[in-house]
Amino acid sequence: MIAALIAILFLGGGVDNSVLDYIAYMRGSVKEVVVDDERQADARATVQAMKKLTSAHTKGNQKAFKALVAEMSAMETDVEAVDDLWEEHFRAVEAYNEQMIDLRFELRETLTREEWEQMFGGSNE
Amino acid sequence: MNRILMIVFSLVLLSFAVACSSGEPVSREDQQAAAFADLRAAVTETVTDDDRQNEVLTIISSLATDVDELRELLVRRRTELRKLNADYDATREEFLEFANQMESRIQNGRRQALQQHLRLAAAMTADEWAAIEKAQTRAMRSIAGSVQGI
Repeated sequence: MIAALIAILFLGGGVDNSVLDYIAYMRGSVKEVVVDDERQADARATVQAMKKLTSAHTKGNQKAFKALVAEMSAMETDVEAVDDLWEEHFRAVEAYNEQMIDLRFELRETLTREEWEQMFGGSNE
Repeated sequence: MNRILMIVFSLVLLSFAVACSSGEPVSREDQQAAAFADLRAAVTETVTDDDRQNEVLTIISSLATDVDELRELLVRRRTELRKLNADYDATREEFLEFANQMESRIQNGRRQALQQHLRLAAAMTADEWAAIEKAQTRAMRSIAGSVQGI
């Protein structure tokens, strides 16, 4: 179990809390907030893409976590293998963050200021 | 000394068990204290050489501090990101800076975690390592759960 704990510390927070998961902060659904049909369809497509991306990223995190726990459980840890796992994981995190930032601004372009407030307002508490 | 430590750890664990069975909510801090007390008890029982035992217990204390710091970082990260994301006028550069800062902190934590792991492995024999690795407890799993849940 120490191995799992160290793997969580190593990854900076385990597998289920991606850095840029905006979906978790949504206060209202696109359907409720955006009345205009065309923009609603665009916004829904963007949110769906975010969900899909986060889901795939979480699966990748789980895989990295399991592989790390296996390495950390061994007394003779292969540091090179751990470094390789880290590099792969870190590249995936960077790619995920970049894509999520793109999608966040895509969504922002689709919504008006008022709609954005309704969707994410009050999120700074 | 070991006997006294075992008694203290047992009392901490007993308090935790009583709190759980009474249906009272157990705080994360209590859960974590119980989990690390449990782990320390396993180390005290398994690693009998005084010097190595002290070394392992020092590393365990350091891991407890690291978990506290990680939890604080995750809570702060969530709060900052919510605030940034809620701002309609926030720029792409602000998001990139936020992501870079977080990644940099995670990089530091990664190096520290690997060092702790290697120190632990160096301080224990293979048999002790296997025994401690098996010391899985519900409380220890709850630490992992509480960090994941942020």
